[in-house]
Amino acid sequence: MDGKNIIYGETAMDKLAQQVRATGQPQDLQSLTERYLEILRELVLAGEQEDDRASDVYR
Amino acid sequence: MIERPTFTGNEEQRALAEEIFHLMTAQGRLFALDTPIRQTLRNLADFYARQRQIDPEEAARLIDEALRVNSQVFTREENNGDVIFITSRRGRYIPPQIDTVHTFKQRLHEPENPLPVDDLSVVVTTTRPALTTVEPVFISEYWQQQAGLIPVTVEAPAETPATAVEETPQVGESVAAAPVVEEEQVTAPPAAPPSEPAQINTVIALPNGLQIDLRRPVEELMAQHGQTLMSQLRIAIENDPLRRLVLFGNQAFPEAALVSFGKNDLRRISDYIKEVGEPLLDTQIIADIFYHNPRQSDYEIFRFALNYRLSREKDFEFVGVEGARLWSVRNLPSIGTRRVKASEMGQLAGYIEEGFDDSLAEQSVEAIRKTGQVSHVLTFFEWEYGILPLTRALSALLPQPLLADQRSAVLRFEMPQHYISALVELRYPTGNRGGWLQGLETLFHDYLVPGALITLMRTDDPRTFAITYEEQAETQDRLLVLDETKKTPKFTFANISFACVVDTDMLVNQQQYGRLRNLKVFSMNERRKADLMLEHVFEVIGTPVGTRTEPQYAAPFNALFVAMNVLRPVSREYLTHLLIDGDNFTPDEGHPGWWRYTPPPSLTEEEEDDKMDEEDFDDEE
Repeated sequence: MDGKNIIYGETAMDKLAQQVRATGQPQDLQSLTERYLEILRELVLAGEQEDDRASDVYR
Repeated sequence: MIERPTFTGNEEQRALAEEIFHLMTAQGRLFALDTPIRQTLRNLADFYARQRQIDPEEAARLIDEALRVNSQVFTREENNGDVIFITSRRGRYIPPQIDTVHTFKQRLHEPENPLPVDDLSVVVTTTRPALTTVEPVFISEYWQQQAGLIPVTVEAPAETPATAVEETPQVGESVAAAPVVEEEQVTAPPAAPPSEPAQINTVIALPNGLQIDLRRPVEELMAQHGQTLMSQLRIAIENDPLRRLVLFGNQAFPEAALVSFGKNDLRRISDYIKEVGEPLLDTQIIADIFYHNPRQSDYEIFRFALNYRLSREKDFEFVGVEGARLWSVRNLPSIGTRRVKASEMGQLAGYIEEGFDDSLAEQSVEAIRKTGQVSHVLTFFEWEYGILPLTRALSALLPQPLLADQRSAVLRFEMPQHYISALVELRYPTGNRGGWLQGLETLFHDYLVPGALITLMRTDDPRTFAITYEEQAETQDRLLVLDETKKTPKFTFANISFACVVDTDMLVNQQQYGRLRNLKVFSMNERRKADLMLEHVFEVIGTPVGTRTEPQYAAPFNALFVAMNVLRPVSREYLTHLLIDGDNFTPDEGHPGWWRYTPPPSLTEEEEDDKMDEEDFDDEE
């Protein structure tokens, strides 16, 4: 996903909620923020990898 | 009424058809008029054969013939070799007509371009529709460049020197230089160079404008922008209308996974707190009311749910701190003196919020946090009402509010030298109103005197603090007290024994501050006016140095400080500010550290009459 399309605090909040629920413990704000950044990072870097793959195929 | 159908055929067939009609309508006599009544030919033939003592095959043939000629009454159907006759109490069978003039299917798939399957959820949904969210509007770079929002990117000319290209021509490389074109013409013409895919943007913008690159490791981002990232995420969670995650303090959990508490549960909690008579810890509520064990796997979620639900109930008030989540309810006995109202005390301590706080002059915030203790000299006001203004020094020692809208916290102050303790309410500052601690009246009156040097210390428990003082041999002195036994309260001196080390300058005894018995006991409302209090203090303790017509009072700064702190809390810095800013106060040139107060000239009777006349004249005009 392109960074322009990401809205901090809105994008992937469902996924964050799922992950917190899966832990079975309330999470403090710091670990929650770290977890959220990891999710956003995966989204952006996955998009970048897809883009690289597409360009390789094209070449 | 059942219609009687007309039967056709020969006499025998009519009789047989009529008999079978009666038989079938008797079978379906409880049916509705139009409800089909079905019977197989085999059943009818068996019945008829037994009744007439004839061959069933023959009976079947006769019935089939008789009913076929009465097809207006009996509808014949064949199903898997079985012949079935159908009629109804009305005397005819009308197959049901399905009205397909308007169908849901048509509405979805007509006109020609049906809605995509994904969009069916928009039409048919069992869930609450999601609230509209503001989608980002993407503006092309061209228009951003035109508007001057981003710098115009000028395409760099081909930097590759012609000679280099000539040496190593590469097929498929995007080239622009003329010599290379010639080279390309010599070699096989390459396929049209594919345009490079746009680089994925890994930079995201936070709502406050901060841009962060998600290529960087999370640890690095947290180290650099941790506070901003956390506060922005907190704001987003708090403003999320879907409440996917909810917060209590610094913890978050999905609301959908939380236990719900009914009105009955809340009433039980409220009753229990009222019964105990003081705020209770969440863990105590869980153990005593819900019998939930900390060893249970869902204990922490249950605890979070309880705290979150109570925080949303207006009848409950959070009065805890980080590490000790206390809950209070309305109508619980108030902690501390009732002689000073909260609104009045907030204004009396307002000077701290205005910046006139000198509590950090002798001890820094870092030192207080490191050692976990603060030293303080008690003033008369603090001793009398059991109140300590929340100075910056005390703020550094005491816990900060856990919730954004938290008004107060309930702490326990112990006096380890006497094995006693008291509940103390910590009121946090709001706006221009200062904060304070109240509820220390008993501890102060029983063991301390104004001027005593006390030390406030943290303990291992986040909500428990200790007050200690240095002991000395018991001494007796005549000290200032507020006598409220009579109708009009007044300041007086009384013999009091004490065994604590005191700051002798701050000890309000008769020997040093005998004139303070003349201080007027103002109402708290009047005491908020610090400048008027200072004028009164000057008149009481100041040395008259003027004449009868032009009175003037002189007083040392320290005496003014002690006397002012009898009526209301002030810091040395605030007192200095009052003296410098006041029109009627001037430094005493002859005595360093002394100040003079010149009361504004009071009007004589004649002057007052003149003034009245002038005012009347003005009114007439």
